[in-house]
Amino acid sequence: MVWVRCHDCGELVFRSLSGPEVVVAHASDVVAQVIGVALIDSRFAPIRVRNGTQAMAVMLARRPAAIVLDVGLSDMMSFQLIEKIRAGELAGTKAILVASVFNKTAYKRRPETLYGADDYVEQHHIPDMLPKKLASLLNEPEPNLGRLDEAALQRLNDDESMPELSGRNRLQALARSIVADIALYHENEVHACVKSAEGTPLVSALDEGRRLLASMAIVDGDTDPIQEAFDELVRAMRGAMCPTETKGVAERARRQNRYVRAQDLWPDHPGAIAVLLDLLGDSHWRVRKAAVVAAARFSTDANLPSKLVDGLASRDNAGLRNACAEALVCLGRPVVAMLMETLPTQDADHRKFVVEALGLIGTAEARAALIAQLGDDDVNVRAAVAEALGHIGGTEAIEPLKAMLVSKDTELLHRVYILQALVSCGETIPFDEIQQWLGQRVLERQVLALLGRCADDRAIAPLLEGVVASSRETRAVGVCALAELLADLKGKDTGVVARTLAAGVAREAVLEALADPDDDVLKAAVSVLAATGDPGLAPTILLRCACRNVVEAGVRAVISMGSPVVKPLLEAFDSAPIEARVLFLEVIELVGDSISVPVLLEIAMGPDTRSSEAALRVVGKLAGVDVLPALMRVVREGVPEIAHVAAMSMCAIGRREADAVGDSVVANWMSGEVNPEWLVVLGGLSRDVDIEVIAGATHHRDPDVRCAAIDAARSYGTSFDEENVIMLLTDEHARVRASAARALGCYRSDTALAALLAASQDADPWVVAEAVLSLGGVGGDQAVRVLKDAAGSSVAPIAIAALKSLFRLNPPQLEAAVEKALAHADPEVVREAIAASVRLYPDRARELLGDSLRSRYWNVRAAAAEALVNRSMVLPVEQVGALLIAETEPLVQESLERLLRVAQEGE
Amino acid sequence: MILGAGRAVSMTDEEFRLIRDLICDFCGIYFEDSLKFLVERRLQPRLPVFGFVSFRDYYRLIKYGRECEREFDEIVERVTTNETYFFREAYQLRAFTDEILPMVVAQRSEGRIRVWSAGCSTGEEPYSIAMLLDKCPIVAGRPVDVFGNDISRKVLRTARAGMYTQASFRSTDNAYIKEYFHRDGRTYQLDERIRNRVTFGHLNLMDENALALIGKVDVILCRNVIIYFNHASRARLLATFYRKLRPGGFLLLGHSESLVNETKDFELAPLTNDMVYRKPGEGSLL
Repeated sequence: MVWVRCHDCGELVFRSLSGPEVVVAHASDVVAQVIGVALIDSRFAPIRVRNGTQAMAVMLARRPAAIVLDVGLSDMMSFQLIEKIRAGELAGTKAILVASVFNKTAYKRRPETLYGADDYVEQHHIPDMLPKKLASLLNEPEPNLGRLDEAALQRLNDDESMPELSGRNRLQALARSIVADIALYHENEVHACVKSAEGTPLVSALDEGRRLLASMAIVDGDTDPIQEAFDELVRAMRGAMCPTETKGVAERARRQNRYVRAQDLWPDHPGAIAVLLDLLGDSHWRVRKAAVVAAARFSTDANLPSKLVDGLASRDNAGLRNACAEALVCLGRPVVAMLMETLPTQDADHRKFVVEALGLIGTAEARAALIAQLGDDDVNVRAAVAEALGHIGGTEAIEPLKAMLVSKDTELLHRVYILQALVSCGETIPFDEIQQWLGQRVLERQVLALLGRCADDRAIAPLLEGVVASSRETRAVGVCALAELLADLKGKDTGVVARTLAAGVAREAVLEALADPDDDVLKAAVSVLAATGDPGLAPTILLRCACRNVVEAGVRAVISMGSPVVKPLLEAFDSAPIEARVLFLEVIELVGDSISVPVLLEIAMGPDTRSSEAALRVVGKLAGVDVLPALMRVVREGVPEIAHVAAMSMCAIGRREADAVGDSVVANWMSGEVNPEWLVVLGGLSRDVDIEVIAGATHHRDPDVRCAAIDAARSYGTSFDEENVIMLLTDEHARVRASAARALGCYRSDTALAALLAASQDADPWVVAEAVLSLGGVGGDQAVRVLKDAAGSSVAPIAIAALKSLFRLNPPQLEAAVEKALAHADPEVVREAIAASVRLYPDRARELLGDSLRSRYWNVRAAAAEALVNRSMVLPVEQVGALLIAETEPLVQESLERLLRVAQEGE
Repeated sequence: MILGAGRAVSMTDEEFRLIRDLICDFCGIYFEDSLKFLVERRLQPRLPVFGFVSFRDYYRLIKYGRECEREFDEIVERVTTNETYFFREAYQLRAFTDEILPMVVAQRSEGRIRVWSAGCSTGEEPYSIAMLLDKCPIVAGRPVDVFGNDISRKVLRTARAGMYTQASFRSTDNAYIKEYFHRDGRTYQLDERIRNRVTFGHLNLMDENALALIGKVDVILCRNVIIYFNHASRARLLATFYRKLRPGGFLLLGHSESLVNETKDFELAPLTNDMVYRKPGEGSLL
């Protein structure tokens, strides 16, 4: 082994002198050393580099046979390095990913596409698997491996990742590494995030990553390195999906052609199966995905299953293996027999793929074959068998699992997999049978999960013990299981839970679970605490639930404790953050305790507007007329938004005490206290006796009062004097005219029509827009003529209003209006036209929407494609395919892909 | 180019003719050649606003400019005359309460009665009508709408405020002032009850589209307005009034105004207190 200097950065790297050269790109010295030793022992010549930049430089200089690279390189994403390799003269270089740090103890499904790599190896399998995989890929003789190098494994376990880095750099590098691992095992979710700009499908995985990072380094509470690393990954992948930024046009076109070829592949094409297999093994994941979809169309082709099963045995193309497995799952039940016949194969990896496919197909006929495989020599196959049986379920599958579980010959690790399978398939096991596994720490999580569903109150005690377990993950499982058990034991005496959780470590543990980043754990902790019936916990529960996806569960739990929660909630109000305060008030509103009204009024008068709003809403629901003076003070003295909420609160009280509220407000008005909010209240009450007051207010000098009066008049419908509203269309203030035009929509008279036609010629566009919208309610030939013209207005609000009205009236002129609006310069108008096109004859709508797919606005293209998909309108496959090739916007691509599928199904 | 301070720009006859005709087309107000000085003096301050050095540039602005409508609003504020006061031409208002209203009520036993004050200026006329109606037993309990409009936004602001100085009361009985006004120093605030009886609107009497918003009315008061219009504008306006009046409805013009040589559509109704015009039709006396 010699040290050499990197051409680019000058850093020292080491290499040996014999065998096929393999670049080892890994930042960790420990991991790189374990890889180096394993490769040298198997007669490979490793060249160690630290990052992607070094790797490219060394590879261009040395042309190695393969590269073994960390999935989370420090300077670029592993898929980016692989794409660079595949794009140029190094295309033939084999690549193996090393999955490293993320949740290394969990059993994980095989990654699906490996982002272009040929294979992958988990870090703890480097000594026993990596040389074999490399030899297989490079057609080298299989190396003779000695006993598993326990010392090497220990070094990997003890590896303090990236010790050479410090502070923020180390944190970022670790985060990138963790995120890269997550991406490897959650490819579909990552692509969903890339396309939808949302990280939702990966919330729990990212949370797990955060926990892991926190266990490896100190993370500043204000930063989220995992999210930053994930965002970086998504950005990079978006770049890869819009290849004009990063790649040559020719390569992009080639890939798009293969993609379209896969999309348009049918069994009757010449040599279809060969083409399909070629596409299933394509270097790009999108092409492989499309090929898997295409494979479903070959379900009647008897030749395909055997070819796919053969593909599972591929040693040099992991992408092909995965794609074949997915395709077999798509084909479903007809391939089960063939898969079962393949099970005796000698290749453990092959067996594992077959087992996974059988499990995912999930048919009962595979059960016997899988049960037979429970004793497989390979631990990974056995784990896969347990998981597959868990998927299939049924007594026949469960019983052998249970039998194997209790067999004294079953090794401990396998027992974990079996228990996990039982948990996954939702199996219920009696407490008496679970009891024997209590106390075994390795099995603790699975046993706790099973205890949770045994519906036996004897499980409470061990679960409470599990709740105080040392590991945070185990505590989380314990809390979830306890919540499940308590739900099942509803109606039975579970007082022991309340007593145990009244104080002490168990209570602290459950309270700690409230801080768990996993929403399910939080939800479970909330439900366990609610079972204690301790109203003093209400503020804590709501504080933890605020701004999380479990708000509803938290509120429900607190409400279940009844009105005693009001006091502690009000006591904790001042010290609570704003988002929690609103939640407090919502709960108080729901439990309905009028004793709290005085405190709520104090909150309403406070400086925090969100709390004031919420408090006023609660007051409106709970209080009687005695609070009117206080509410009126808020109307008079509050900022406009709060004054309005106070007025609405008065309306709410007015629903119970209309005359008391109405008379108070009218008295204010008559005494000369002019305030638009009084009109809001009168409008909300809609008492006949107040019509004259409101009509008088439409003449007030203040245009705000006139506006409020018209808005109040609207609540009277046609009972309010139509002429009065029409006269307000001549008001010198545009906003008053706009309100009048809006109010006139409910009158369906000739005079209203004439007035609205006149208002549609107003100088102010908002007045015109309101008039046009109201014309949709009045209707008639004249209205339709005006609406048709307005649909072509260059002013977007007018055109949109006209389209809405025409949609409502559905006259024959709608088609011309839609056609005109589709050519509008404002994309919002075009989107409205697309929505309105649903009223047209399907052929015409399809034609118009097809044209919109060429719009220069991406949101118009997306809306048109979605409209076509939703209405199952079929366009020629070639047309959609061509659009898809030209499309650069991921969201539109996604819509076009759906449209292409509709087109293919239609044809 | 910016005009120098104090440097006046004169308006040529041609410029006057062009601008005068545009104003007339817009709002019907017509300036005889003898009133050129008035137009020149009132519009001169607008030139430096736009940096113009001649009225021709200003003409181009109001003829072709994107914001021409806004500038016309400004012109209207400058060239209109808004002289009015409460209970002006009292004999005519006596005719309104003592003779016209009973006829209208007799003619239409139910439904609301509608009175339109066309060109209401600062509101004294419609408010006078509202005060008279308040004291008129024949319409007690009967809904009566009083609608006042003007083309000037400035005068509408005053009208809506309902606050007046002594100049507005030159022919007002003290009893009305006592009953309907609250004195505040040198100003008089009209009682809200009366204010609420009148609807004000911004309306150009030459704007056919806006006029479409006015429904059928029983009485139109358009006093001392058409004297500012040329013959063609008067003809258009009178045709509008004719359409808007119910059959048998009344048109009240100023004492110096007449329909002689204007239209033969209306009948002359010789009442005891005044001579007024009436749309022929149901209930017509002549």
